[in-house]
Amino acid sequence: MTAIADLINTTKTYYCLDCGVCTGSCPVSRVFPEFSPRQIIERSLYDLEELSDHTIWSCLTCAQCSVRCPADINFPEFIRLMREQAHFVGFDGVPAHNGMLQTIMSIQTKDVQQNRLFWIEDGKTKETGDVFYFVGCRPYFDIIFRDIDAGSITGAQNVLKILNACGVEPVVSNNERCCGHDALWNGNEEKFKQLARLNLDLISSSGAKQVIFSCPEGYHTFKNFYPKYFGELDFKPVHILDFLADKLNEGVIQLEGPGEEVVTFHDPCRLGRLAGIYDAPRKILETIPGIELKEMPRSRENGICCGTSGWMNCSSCSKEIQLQRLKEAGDTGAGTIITACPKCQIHFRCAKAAFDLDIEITDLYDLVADRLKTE
Amino acid sequence: MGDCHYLDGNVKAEKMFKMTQELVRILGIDLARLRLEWVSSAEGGRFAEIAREFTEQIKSLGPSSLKQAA
Ligand code: SF4
Ligand code: SF4
Repeated sequence: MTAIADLINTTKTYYCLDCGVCTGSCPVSRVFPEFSPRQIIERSLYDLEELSDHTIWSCLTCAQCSVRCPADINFPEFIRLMREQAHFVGFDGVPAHNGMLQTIMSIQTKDVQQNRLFWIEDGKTKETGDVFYFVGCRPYFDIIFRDIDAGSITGAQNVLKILNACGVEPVVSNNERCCGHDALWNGNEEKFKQLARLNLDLISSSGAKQVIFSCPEGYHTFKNFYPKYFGELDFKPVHILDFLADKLNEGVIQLEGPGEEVVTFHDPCRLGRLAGIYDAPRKILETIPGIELKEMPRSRENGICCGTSGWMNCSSCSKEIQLQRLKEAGDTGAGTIITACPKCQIHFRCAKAAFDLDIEITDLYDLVADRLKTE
Repeated sequence: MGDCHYLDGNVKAEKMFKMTQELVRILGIDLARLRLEWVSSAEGGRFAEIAREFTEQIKSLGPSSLKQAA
């Protein structure tokens, strides 16, 4: 059996009805007609697909197709497995930023002593304890994307500020590694496993029972992929948005004005469709006095991806998707688009700079930290 | 600076070098393994001298921890 025939069986793509809902829903197909999930499946079923097909690397793995598929076919997973096979025989996507981010991930599989905690200013943290804050790649993004003012590290500083305000002094560590999300979706399972193993050992040695994430990719990867490869976790992955919504509910923290502001919310694909978190960010926004949330036509389950994923195949198509999204946000009458993912932030700020658009792009944690009521 | 055959090539190179330096630092790799020198195509002797000296420096640092398995 060929490698592709094998993964058709694993993912049961033979149930495909050939209806084309996937291609009709796909944000990439709309701007890059050569890419068609339906045709990739069809070609695979008729033994016509090749692992050298370069379009398999254009999928954003955003799950817009799979949530609508009447045959319940998990196309992103099909693509992920196909990339694994393709990578195995020497085909890869086109890495963005000359592969710098993939190199950083590879270095982290080694025995390195990182200095990634440079960003902690006056926040309170611990070396061991019940709660671990998994910061993710923000320290690296902060350095790489300074010229587009991505503000990646401000997000981490603000998450720490929020945690401290909730009475939590989390463990943070210089030995944290990339969660492996991108390695996984780049088809590099080996690299993913090396990174994941190091993270699991680190968390286990910290004694944490709860790991808090502010990055949707990290959360999704820990929650759904780590157990697949390493069995049940001995800690609970918690997304800060769920944590925060609870704390606001319990009255542990309060948010305050000043001023009226109309905003719109962009559901990151890993947060919404892949991790199922839609309500918490909206509840938090509703709690802030003076903030009015205007939804975009494509929101929640229909929210569009920010245009590129896995630091791969960033192209004029990505830019077109981002431009359309920012225009959609502006059309709601909102002056600010709020996201809750460091990568959405980077991708939108890059498009904003490229097209000189007049819309503010803000991380939800920056907004919340700014509106924290202090006694 | 600015005196570059590729117009602002050296300005860009310096920016890229500074970013790399910061990344190398937080990755925990010795900064002595990275160096920026300006050498024009007419300075062959100087190029050889710098290359020799930098090679000596790297040799004296020994293999980096990246060589070892994780
Ligand atoms: S939406 Fe599902 S059933 Fe329809 S063509 Fe796509 S994969 Fe096949
Ligand atoms: S996962 Fe997203 S980008 Fe990939 S085929 Fe489906 S809708 Fe298109």
